[in-house]
Formats: sequence, structure tokens, C-alpha cells
Amino acid sequence: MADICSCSTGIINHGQPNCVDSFARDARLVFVEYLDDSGAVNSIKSTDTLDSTYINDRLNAGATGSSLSLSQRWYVTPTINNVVGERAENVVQEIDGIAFNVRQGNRMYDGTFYGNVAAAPYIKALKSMQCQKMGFFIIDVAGNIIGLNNELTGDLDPIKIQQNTLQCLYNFPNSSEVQAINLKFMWEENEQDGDLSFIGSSSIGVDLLTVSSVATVVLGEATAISTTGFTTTLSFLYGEQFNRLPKTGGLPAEFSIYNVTADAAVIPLTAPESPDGTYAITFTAQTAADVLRVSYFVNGFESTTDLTVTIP
Amino acid sequence: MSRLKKSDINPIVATYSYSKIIKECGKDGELIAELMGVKKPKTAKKKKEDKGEE
Repeated sequence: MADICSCSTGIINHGQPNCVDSFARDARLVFVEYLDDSGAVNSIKSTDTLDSTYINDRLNAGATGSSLSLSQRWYVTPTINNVVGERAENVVQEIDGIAFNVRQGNRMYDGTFYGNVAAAPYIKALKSMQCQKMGFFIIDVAGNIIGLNNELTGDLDPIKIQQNTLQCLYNFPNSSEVQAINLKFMWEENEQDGDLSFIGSSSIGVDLLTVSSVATVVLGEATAISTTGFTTTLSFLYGEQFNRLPKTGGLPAEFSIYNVTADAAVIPLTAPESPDGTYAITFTAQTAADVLRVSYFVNGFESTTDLTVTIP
Repeated sequence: MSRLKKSDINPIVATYSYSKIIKECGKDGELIAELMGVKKPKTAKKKKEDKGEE
């Protein structure tokens, strides 16, 4: 971002208003790809209205029917605690006993997820960002969004993460501690603390402390396949090895079925659920040997691997 | 399997004609039509009434 000390622009006045709003301690993080597919920064624009439509669009970007690409999706973490990220002192060069500034010290982000939200499979979701060019916004305990002021555009930019610095450590629960995932990463070296800015929760039409990120659900192997239907399961990635937590409450219109052989969409007619997470899906009679491709999506939940069903 | 509930049915079915529901939904067609409020047309009776009025 902008140089703080510029010989050409001179010294910035030090006066401040009598009372300056500020943000609070971190509660959650919103990870985003720093650039979207078009190469634009995934900023919050000054012209954006941060209502439920805007937030839902970001949370579900790239899903069926979304006008946004997957590269614009917001990945919101559970509550993060014990954030102790600090900026190291400036890197200096000592000459004749004088410490000349070379560059600002690096800032590490260091926080921890505790308890049930720190289930081991969540590490995979966090580590999947390791090699990506990511940025992040902070949601503080008051529901404000914290990012960096872009002086050129006036937008609130995500804070850029130094690529390949993200690491997470899982801590087993023990007699005195709950399970935990410690998350660390470095701010991109040129990001400036002086650019930190925020959008107040009063300007956001949604309580960001309660929104949920999209969860991956898995479609189980199809059984009881006939020309007019099949049975499958929906489960989360979390839970016991042979008994993952079921995704309940799925509705027929949330399943997408495509007849690959006939190159035509198939409308699910009914999808009664019994027992929890098991759905008997029916549709208009299909031709024997046709191959169906099945996926699931509803705001907040999506299958990432399609189920293939061959009509007997 | 327990009896179908309205929430088990794709809302798009409510836009189908009665005959299409019976054709596409098979053995549950009548129940699905009933749950979705799609009534069996009474065309034959209507014709008689029309004739009577003439």
C-alpha cells in the first residue's frame, strides 16, 4: 500500500476528531481469494450495500444459480480466540551504532479455534488455502468488518496473506484442555497497519457473528436404483468414521439431476427423508443404461463431488 | 416408507396438470396431486352441464 513517509506529500496533520470510532478484538475471519477470476481485488466497494443479499451472495458465490464466481466466495471461520498476532520490530541496519530502518517487521496472525469447532477435519479446510493467494477480513466481536483502506479506490480491501505461510496445529484434548486448532499466517510483508479500516456493524444489515459458511456435504452411494428413482444419503465431512453426521432437512428441489446420456435435466419429483439424512429420490421414468449425474446445493450446503447413477 | 408429506414433493409439481402428475409420479401420483392441491378435472360433468344450459 501507500508509503507512510513520502518526501513529496509532506507531513500529515496530527489532529483527530474528539471521539474516534474503532474496532474491537477479533471474533471470526473471512478468508477470500485476494483476486477474483477477472483479476480484481475481492474488495468491499464503497457502492456495495451490505445487506443479507450481498452477504449471502458472497457466502454462496460460485454455487448453482449464483451470479458470482467461486473466486469471489467468502469462507467464514468459526469463532477464533486468543489472537496474539504481533508485528515484529523494524528490520534495521546498524551503522556506527545507529539503527537505520530497512523495512517494517513482519506481522504474524496467530489465533486458535477451541472446542467442537476445532474438529480435526477442519484442518483440511484451513490447509486448502495454504498455496492460494489469499486475503482476509476480520469480523470483530461487535460485528464490524476490518480490512485495509485502499486509498486509490476508496474500497475496503482484504488484508493480503503472504503466500505459503499459513500453518495450523491440532492439539488433542486432555485432562485440562479442550481440543484446539492453532492458526498462524503472515500478513503480506508490504501491508501497512496504518491502512487498517473498518465498516461498522450498524452499516451491515446482517449479524456477521452468526452467518455460516458453506458446508460440504457428501452424497452417498446410490441404492435401490430403478428407472424412476434411487436412494442416497447426505452427510457432512464431520462425525464418526462410519457414521458421519447426516444432513437433514434436504428438499427435492435442492437435488440436481442430469441425464448425461440423454443430455437433459431430470426433475426430482419427490425426496422423502427416512431415516435422517437418507433420501428416496423419484423422477420421471428414465431409459435403462442411461447415466445420471447428481449433485446437491442449497444456500449454506453443497456437494463438491457428483454422484453417478446408472439406470438398470 | 412413511406416507409422503407435502415437503417431500418438489414445489414445481404444483404447476403440473393432474394428468401429468399421474403419468410422471406413478403409483404415488394421486397422493402427490392431492398434497399439491392439483385437482382431477371434471371435464365430463362440465360438458353435461354445458349441454343442459343450451
